[in-house]
Amino acid sequence: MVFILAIEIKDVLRIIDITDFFSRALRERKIGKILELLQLLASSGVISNEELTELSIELMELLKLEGEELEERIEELERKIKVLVIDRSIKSSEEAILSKLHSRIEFLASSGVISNNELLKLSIELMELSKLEGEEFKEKAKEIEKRIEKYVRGNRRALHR
Amino acid sequence: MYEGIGEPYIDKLFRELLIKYNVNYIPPGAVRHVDYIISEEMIILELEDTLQEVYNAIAQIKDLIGGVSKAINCRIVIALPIPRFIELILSPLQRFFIVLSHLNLIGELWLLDFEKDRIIKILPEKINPSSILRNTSVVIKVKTNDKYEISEEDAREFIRELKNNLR
Repeated sequence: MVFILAIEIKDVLRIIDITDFFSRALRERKIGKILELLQLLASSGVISNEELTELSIELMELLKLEGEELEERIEELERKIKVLVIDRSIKSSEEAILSKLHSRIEFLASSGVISNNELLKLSIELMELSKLEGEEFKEKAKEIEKRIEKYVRGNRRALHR
Repeated sequence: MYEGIGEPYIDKLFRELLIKYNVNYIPPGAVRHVDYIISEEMIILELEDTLQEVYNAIAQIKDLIGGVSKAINCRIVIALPIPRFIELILSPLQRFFIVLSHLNLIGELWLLDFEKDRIIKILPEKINPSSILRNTSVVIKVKTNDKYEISEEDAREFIRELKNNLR
C-alpha cells in the first residue's frame, strides 16, 4: 500500500512538472509569435530598427513574468503593436491616395481626354491636396476624385477607344 | 523619355553618371531602407523610375529615412528621370517639401536628364543647392512660404521655367 502511494505521488509530481513545462512552453511560444510578428513588421518596413530593438527588449522582459501578470503585459504589448501598425497605415495611406489620384490624372492625360491646360489645373489641385492632412485631406481628395470621375464619364467613349 | 523603363536600368544609367564624374557612393543594399549614400557632402538618395513612385519614397522618408538623415545631418534627395507629364511633378514635389519642412530636413528633387547628361536640381528658394555634381547640374529654385508651401501662381511659374529648361 505504501509502495503504491509512493508511485502515485511520483506521478502527481511528474504531472505538475509536465504542466509547468507546458505553461512555460506556451508562454515562450506566445512570446516567440510576437517576436516573429515584430521581425516581419521590421523587414517589411512598417517599424524601424530602433522600434524593433525597443519592442524586442520589452518582449524579453516578459520572460521573467508568469500567470496573470504575464497575460496582462502580453495584451498590453499586443495593443501597442496594433496601435503602431494602424498609425503607420494611416500615415502612408495619404501618400497612397495621392498616388492613386496621380495615376488617374496621368491616365486622362495620356489618353488625350484632358488638354494641357486642364492637366495643369488638375496638377495644381493635386498639389493643393498634398499640403493637407487628416480630415481636410480626405474631403479634398474626394472632391478631386469627383472631378476626375466627371472627366471619365464625359469621355467614356474616348477612353474605351 | 526614360520614365518607367524600370529601376534596374535607371540604376545602371545613374551609376554610370556617378562614375563618370568621380562621385564616391555607397550602393543600394549597403544601408537598410536607403538606395544610395553619395559624397562629396553626404546625401541620402532615393532613386525612383517614375513620378508616381516618388510618393512611396516620401512615405519611406516619413517613416524610416527621415530619422537617419536627421541623425547624420545630411540632405535627402529623390532622383528620377524626366517625367512624361511635367505638370504632374507639382504634387509629389509639394508633398516632399512639406515632409521636409515637418521633419526639419533639407532636400532636393533631381530630374535626371540622361539625353543631355545633366541633372536638374529642384529645391525651395531659401535653400542652397548641394555642391555635388554641380558641373553637370541646372538648379531651379521654387518660391515657397516658410512652410515650404508653393502658391498656385508660383507653381505655374515653376512649370514654365522647367519646360523652358527642358526644351
